[in-house]
Amino acid sequence: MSAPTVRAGGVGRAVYRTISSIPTGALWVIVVIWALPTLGLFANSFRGPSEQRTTPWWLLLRDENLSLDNYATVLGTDVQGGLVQGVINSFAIALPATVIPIAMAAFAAYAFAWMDFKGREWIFIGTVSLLAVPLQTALIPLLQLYNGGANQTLPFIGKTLSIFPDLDLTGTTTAVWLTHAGFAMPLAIFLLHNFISGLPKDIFESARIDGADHFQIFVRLVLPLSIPVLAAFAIFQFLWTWNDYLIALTMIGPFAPDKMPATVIIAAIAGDFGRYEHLLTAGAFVQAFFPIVVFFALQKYFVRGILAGSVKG
Amino acid sequence: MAEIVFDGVNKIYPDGTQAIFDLSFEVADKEFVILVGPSGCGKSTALRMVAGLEEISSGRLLIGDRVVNDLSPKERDIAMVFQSYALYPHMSVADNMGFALKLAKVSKEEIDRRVRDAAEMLGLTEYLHRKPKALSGGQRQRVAMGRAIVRSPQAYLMDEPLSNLDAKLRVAMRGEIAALQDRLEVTTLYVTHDQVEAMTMGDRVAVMKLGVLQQVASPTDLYERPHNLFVAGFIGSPAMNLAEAEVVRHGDGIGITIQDGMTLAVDPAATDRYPKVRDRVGQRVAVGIRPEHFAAPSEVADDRVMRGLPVALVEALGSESLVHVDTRTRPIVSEDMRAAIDDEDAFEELKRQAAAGGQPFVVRYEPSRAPRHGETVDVGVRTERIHFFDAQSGLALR
Repeated sequence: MSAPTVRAGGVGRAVYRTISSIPTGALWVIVVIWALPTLGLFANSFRGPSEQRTTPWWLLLRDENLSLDNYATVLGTDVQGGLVQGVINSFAIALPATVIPIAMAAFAAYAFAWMDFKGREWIFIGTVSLLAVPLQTALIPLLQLYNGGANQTLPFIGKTLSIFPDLDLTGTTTAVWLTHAGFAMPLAIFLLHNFISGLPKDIFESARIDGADHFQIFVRLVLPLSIPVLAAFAIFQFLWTWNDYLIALTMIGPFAPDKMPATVIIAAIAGDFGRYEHLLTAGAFVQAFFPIVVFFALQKYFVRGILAGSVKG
Repeated sequence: MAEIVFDGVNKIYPDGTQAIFDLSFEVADKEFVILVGPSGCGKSTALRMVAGLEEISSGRLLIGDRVVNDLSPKERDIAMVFQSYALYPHMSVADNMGFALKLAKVSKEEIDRRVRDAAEMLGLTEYLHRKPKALSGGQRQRVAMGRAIVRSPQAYLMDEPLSNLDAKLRVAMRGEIAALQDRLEVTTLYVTHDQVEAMTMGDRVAVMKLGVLQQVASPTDLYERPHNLFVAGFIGSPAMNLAEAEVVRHGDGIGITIQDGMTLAVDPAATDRYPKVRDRVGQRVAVGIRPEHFAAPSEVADDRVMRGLPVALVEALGSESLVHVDTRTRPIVSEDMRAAIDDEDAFEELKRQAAAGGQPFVVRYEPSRAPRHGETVDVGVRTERIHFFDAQSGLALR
């Protein structure tokens, strides 16, 4: 009686082990498929133009003249004003476009989650529903707003009201990060609100009894406890703005080539008829370097259980 | 140091449900008052109104002669201990305890001194630098207490502070908190659903049911002179045996027919305490007998013995044995009992028993004299200790 049961159990366990290894195996397959093109790009970035065109990248080790020439070229000033300036411009856009919306959205998310005011729900729904506005449709109106402002001539009186001043922003990095910051706000508020509204209520009540006002609760409790979600959103927002091409091209465009971020410069590196196509490989890796640094710098904040020990046992 | 006064306080939520009805009672200066009741009785709401976390719909609330209805929690100068402890997880124990003082801009040395004093009092000195997650449940509970102590507020408010601890620790902390309150002499309002905590800790106990205050009295008073059927059923563990019985003439005095063909003579001492019973001859009343108010048949008069009761269950607790005997007495099925039992399943069981025409009584025995399961016993009733209530209103027949 017991022997077959044991054997069945053994088979069951083997089957179970096989099945349970499927997700891990599938993940590895996906990782390899995803990583291969990047790997090829990386390999090619050390090869000259003729090798890149004539032999596949996995024959890398047969090449005799592997060099850092591609990197030297893209970082030098010969092509398109140089990628170094482009990287600096990218930072000038991505840093404010990350920090400013997070700071503002954290305040807003706290208010929506824990402060009582009239119309709270509707304002929140309105804010979040702005997620549905596609950035592309706003490009031209925004450009007009930045360059000329918004003016309305009142009928009959003939007076012109300036609703939004002419800030003359076209051709500046400010125009780019302002746009990014604005369009990041709904998602940022939504994400942070989800997290902050889930913090235990008792902590806030206890702080109120301890004599804290909303600002003190925000600074001393909400911010430190929200570090995981702030870091997560910071990484995404930095990636999006760092890798943005469209907005930078529209807002800076032909007005000021020296303000262009790295993405636009890399796109232009290939040159007419793709003459310098081989440089794209090195350019792409210069571009990818910084987000990777940011990711590894912030990933230690993705610690689980930051709330452990707060409430309950 | 101050007293807390509820003066006709009501709580009505925006959707119209009323959580608290005309609550009036007073916690005297330095007094330890326990607010107890089954879940949903409004005790936590009452406490949160004192803390300033719930608005007061009408009535007045005073802390130390000051009407505090419209003051913020901060202005009320009270400290609260939460059921969940609500420690700040990213701060060390010392920072947790000193948080309120830091916000009040007390000097660093002063904060340090007061935190150290409190930590010493609570045995937390060696944990001051630790984060809450590195502490055990009991230690977290102490930190929550310490946070209240360092502030030296006008009053402590405690919302079921022990209910997250395991049973053994709860018993230890029970005594500790009571001793601490006695030493610090700070007015304390303590909410619990556990009537054992209520009986053992407080100077006085306020019992609530469905938003209505039932009785405020010392623990002994509450136990010996319950104001109504609900208090009688709720206070005491194991609970009082309650049954419907008919009041009859018996000799010079009165007796009660507690089940068909079984009439017990009522001692005059009981009718002295419940004089209105004398007017109820021929009517049905609710009768309450605590488990410890039974005796061996030889110790009481012959007409005070319930005979031939089969033993259904014996709980041997070491110091005493609780013997459940089957009777054919009629259980009391009313809203009071539903609230006192505070358990829908148990109440359904009671209803089923009522329909079947019988219920078990719990009788306390000396372990050495306890009968065994399946035996049939005679138990004497100390009828001088019997309680009487109106079967309809539930009020004591005093």
